[in-house]
Amino acid sequence: MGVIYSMLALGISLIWNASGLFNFAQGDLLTLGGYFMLTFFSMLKLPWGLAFALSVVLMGIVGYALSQIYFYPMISNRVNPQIILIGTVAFSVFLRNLVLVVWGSTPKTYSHPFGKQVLRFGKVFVMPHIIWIVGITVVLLIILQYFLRRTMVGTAMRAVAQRQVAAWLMGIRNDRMIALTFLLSTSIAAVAGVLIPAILPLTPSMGGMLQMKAMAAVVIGGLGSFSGALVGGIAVGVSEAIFATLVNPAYRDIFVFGVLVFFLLFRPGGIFRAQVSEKV
Amino acid sequence: MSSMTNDSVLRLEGLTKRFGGLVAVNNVSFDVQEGQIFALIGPNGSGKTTVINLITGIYPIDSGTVRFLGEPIEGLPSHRICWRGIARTFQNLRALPAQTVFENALLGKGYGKEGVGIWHTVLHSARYKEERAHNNEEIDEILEFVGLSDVRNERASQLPYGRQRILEIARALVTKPKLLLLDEPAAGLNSQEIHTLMELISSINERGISVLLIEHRMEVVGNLADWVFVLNHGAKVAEGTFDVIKEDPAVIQAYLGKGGK
Amino acid sequence: MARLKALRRSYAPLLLGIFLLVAPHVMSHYQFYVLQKGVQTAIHVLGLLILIGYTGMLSLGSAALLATGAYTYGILSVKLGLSPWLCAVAAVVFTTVVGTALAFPSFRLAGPFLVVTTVGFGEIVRILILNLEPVTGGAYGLAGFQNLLPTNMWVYHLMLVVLLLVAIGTERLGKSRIGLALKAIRQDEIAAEVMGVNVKRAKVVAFALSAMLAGVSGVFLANLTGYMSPDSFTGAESTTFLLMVVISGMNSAVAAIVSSIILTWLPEVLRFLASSRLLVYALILLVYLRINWVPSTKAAVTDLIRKLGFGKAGASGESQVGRG
Repeated sequence: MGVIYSMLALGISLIWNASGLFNFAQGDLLTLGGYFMLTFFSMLKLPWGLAFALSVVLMGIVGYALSQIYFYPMISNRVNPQIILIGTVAFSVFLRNLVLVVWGSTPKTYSHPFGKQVLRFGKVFVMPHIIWIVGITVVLLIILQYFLRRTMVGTAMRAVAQRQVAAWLMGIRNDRMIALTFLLSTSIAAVAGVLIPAILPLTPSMGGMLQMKAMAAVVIGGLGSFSGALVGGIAVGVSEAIFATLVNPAYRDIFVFGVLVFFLLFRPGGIFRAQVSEKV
Repeated sequence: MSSMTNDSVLRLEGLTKRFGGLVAVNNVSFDVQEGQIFALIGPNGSGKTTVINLITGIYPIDSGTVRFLGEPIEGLPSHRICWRGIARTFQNLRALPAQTVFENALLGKGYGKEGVGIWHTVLHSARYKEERAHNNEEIDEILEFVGLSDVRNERASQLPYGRQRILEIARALVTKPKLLLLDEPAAGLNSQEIHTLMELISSINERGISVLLIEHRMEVVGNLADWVFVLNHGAKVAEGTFDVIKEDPAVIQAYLGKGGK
Repeated sequence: MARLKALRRSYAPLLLGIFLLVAPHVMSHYQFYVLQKGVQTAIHVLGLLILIGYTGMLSLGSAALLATGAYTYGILSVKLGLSPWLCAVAAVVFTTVVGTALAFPSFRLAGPFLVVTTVGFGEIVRILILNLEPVTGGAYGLAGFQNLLPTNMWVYHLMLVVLLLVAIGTERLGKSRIGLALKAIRQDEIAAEVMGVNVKRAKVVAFALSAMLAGVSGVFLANLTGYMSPDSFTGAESTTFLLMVVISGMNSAVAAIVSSIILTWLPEVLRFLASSRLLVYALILLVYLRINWVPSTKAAVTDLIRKLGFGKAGASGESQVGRG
């Protein structure tokens, strides 16, 4: 679960870095991605790989549209960030209920191609899908790093993230870049959404709790830092599992929130010391 | 020009501030006399705004002292510093756009120091009404003084840029300051507006308020400043009267390196 | 045009008052119940108007405070058998204290972080209520506590009186110097601080006031429904309350009351949409935000409205927030 949180946290950090927006709907985007996959794979009976690709692409389009129609106009008009934040919250509610209306509220699940054979490493038993999930995530992260650091487009994105006006003057089209960021974020959320039913069944409201955990991951790892997102996600995932087994499963979520609040109060920059304050 | 006494209104000693590895303000010391118009100049990025932010408590000070009217004010929260008598304007215009001119000025009255509490406000008691009438009068007088009476009930965002700057100054005046810190008030103004601004600053100074002025436009500095302090890379380059400063080779060098005045 | 606006402004509260007084007598039992819920929610939302609308402290955990008020009242009444009025007072006081605690994180945390904290708080309270079964009745809910007043009508009228007082208070606060200080915190906290606003103290006051109102609202909720369970106090509820404040324009008490009542009513009116009421709300809010806050779109839309013959040259309703 840790890496799932990491992926969400990554999406949030990406958007934050590029536009200064905190995406409250990231968890629900994951849910949407998962349901798309459900439609393609279970209902339309497309092969797993194809369904996966379609879901991700579709979610990417959603992200792009979102940015062009909704969020970028707000950013470029310098709307009060609090209002935009409320906008993402509203969007999250919207998504949640959309899923509810379209797909119904009973938990759904679908099988994955990773096999049911339990693997054995010495004394440790591991389910194969876990390896796959972690593996895919790591690969994704590596690709992302490469993209952001080495390619022109990636560098342009980072330029926009750091200095919007300067980037604009250099001829970089900010709206495209931000659209691209959103596209990437939603796609990543989609990947997570596709993979998650191996662990949890799909329900319309799962986005909320996942969002909370992802936000905890973001804070703990440091908002805006990608490695932080990764570490934070894993930290949250692992610690919540430990807590649930050792102490009391019912209070597991309270534990996560407790840690979150603790970090917010004492170390808002997270482990990797992200920027928290405003320039005067 | 104003009367010069020997009382120091603001005294900085060894003020230093680091941001990560960068030393933004390096061991700066100066003294603003009562009734002076003191100009702080220097190329872009030399740390002038940072100095003001340090004085007004927006950034914590790494080392050094700041004394206002003889009392140390380092470490005090910004609103307390305001209550003591220091007011400021911002380089990037921080008027409240959605509120009217009058309301913006009213903000200068602050909250927590004096004035009726919530109970009275909600009950519209006699004390509340009295205070409100008193505030109205006071603010209208200040708006008149700065020349904004005609737009009293307009939204701040509707005003042209130059008048918004004046609004910020008016707001600062409402706090009844003894020292006014102006951060590049002439930036973005045309020559007519600059003229009005200079007159305003003069009249403010004549009322006995000391002024610390950060400015780039040399005609403003030349015309108004009693004393000039030059900053570059966070450290002092020179200080003196304007005529002396403008001939100083070190000063010329500092500016020339960045494109000259 | 300005006259029309001014006319509408002064008559709106009057019309609203008349409606609230007369309605119960012409409505069915069920409709009246919904109206009562609307009024009860309005009290809570007025508190949010102060906190979110004026001061800008985005809180998505207000349902938890509502729960605190309701449950404290219920528990004290059921478990300790105290007189209802005593329970009510205790509930309000306790909720105020708890809610004020939220002010402290707000000193250090900006926008999204604060929201996250409030959401976390909301969830913690809900989970606590769910799990502390012996005290709160857990998932089975809590019932059997005494009511403040003999009949429903009495409670309704009491609520109306409270609502009226609170509305007047909130309006007056909004237009005062203190209200201005709060609004300044929302728009530019640092500028406010530098101009002499004791921001910390103001935040504490804002949180305290809104918590107090949430407590009052919670007590009324208990009285209205006679039963409570943790499901009524979820994050979704908090979000709905936030929505009510935002849609009302965040500036006027009357607008806040109207939007509370309408949005409480909507699910009933939209029966055919059943579970998708939140969907509609969210969509409304999304569209509203997009149009109202982006000047180019707003201009285009107002143009369109004018062309369609709806004449009004002014901008949207009560809202004077502009680019707030």
